[in-house]
Amino acid sequence: MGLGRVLIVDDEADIRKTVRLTLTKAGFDVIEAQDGEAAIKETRSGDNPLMLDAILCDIHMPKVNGKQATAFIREQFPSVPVIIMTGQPDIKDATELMKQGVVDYLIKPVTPEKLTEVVSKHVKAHVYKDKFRV
Amino acid sequence: MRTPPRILVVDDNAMNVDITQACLSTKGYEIVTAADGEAALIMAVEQLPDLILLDVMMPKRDGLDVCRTLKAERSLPFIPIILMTARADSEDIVRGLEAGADEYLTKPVDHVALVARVSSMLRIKEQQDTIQAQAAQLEVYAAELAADNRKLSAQLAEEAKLAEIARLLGDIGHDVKNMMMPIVMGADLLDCELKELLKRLAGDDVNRSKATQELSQEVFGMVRSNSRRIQDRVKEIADAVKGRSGPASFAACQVSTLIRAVFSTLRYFAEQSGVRLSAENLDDLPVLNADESRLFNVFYNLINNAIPETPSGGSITVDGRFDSETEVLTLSVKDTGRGMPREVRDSLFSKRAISRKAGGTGLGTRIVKDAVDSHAGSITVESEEGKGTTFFIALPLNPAEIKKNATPSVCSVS
Repeated sequence: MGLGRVLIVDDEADIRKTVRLTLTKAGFDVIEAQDGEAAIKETRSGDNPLMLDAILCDIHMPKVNGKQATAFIREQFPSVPVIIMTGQPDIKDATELMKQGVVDYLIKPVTPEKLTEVVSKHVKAHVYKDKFRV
Repeated sequence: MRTPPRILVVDDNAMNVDITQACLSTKGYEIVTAADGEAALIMAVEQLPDLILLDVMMPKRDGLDVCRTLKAERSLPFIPIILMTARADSEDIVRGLEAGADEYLTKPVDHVALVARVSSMLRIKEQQDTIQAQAAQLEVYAAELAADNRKLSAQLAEEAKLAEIARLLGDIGHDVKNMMMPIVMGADLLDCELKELLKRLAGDDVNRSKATQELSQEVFGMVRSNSRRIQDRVKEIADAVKGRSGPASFAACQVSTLIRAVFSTLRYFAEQSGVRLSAENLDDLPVLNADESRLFNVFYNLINNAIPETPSGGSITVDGRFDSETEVLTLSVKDTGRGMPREVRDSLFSKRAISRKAGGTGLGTRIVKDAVDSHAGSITVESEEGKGTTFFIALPLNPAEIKKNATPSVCSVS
């Protein structure tokens, strides 16, 4: 098992791919979802809810958008850190999402170092919390 | 209606005309006369009398015919007509009124009755004139309103079109960012891989691997900076259109929070370029009434433009001060960059700003100027070549009030 399991939610296949390549190289397991609906399905698949250590989520997506997906995820899995990654930074969106408990807000494009750094930080915190049931 | 009123008296009997004229002249009326129906029509059209006294029994055209003709003539103003008839039977009176007459008198005419009828008819004429003048005025107003309406709906359509373009450009910007991300991240990933590979090969041929590394660094640098330029350009265009597509929306705005947001957006770019971003004296500034997203663009553009101008190890500082007397907040953006030559500085906020960035459009400074203008503020620049550039943005605490009380400013030429 790697450093942790990360779900990337983005409607752009190549963005998912670059994120997967970057994070896989850094030692994470990466699962992809192409929109909010798929993300919600992904988190529910199987009898046991999927164990995730972090979720990277775009905002503007077809069907269920990032804000709706975040609201769902925050309610169902309050302990899983959600990191927003958007191409359209918007102060109002950011404030709204921060209130929902999003842990970080990245603006595209993100460099691999930055992405790895941010994901590592939040995954570590999550794993630690899990282990010690904080 | 004229002063004194002009009355046309029509009768084929000269003596009747004389008597009527004599009677009415004493009241100060101006009298014109005609001896038959045809002459009466000509006089009516030429003289435009305010009242016509019309005999019924006349040669050529009788009074009823004249009456019908005049009343049917649309180009004439309202002229009251009093028919004078010898017979007093009701059928005659009915025929006269049906022909369009406004009043009738039976012969022999009683002078007191004549004067009374004439003055009552002139009163009606005066009222009619007022009504017609008001109707004409109303028509003018209606035409003006219709013109204004057309102008407004054209303006609204134009604004809707601009808003649509702004929205479209926003979407394109989003797409471009999404498409750039795999390129930028892909380049960085390749860069990493290549470095590792070269490290492993370094033992074989130090010089060759060093040359390869230098070349690849240059290529990766090019990919990164051009990706950035593409994004900047799309953002510039979208912001420029947005700035024109709607009124600014003002709300309470904390300057320190706003500058922090700009810094966090640009921090990575600044770190890559080795430039330090710092804020001074912003925490104690009063709350500003401003359009936050426009102000964000002002500082985003100024700082984004300053980063490539500033050599590694330099800094960009946003400083603030408040003049409580004038209620003006002044923010400065100071870089330790290469400074700008006079001609660039002078043309900076003109319509044709020169961009010093390779392939720049100068749109960024336009956005800044438009945004500062919409806050009733002002922007000035001080620059020394080799030392750096400082922009000063002066913003009134409450731009809405300034705009309301604004008087046309006098341009002084020095």
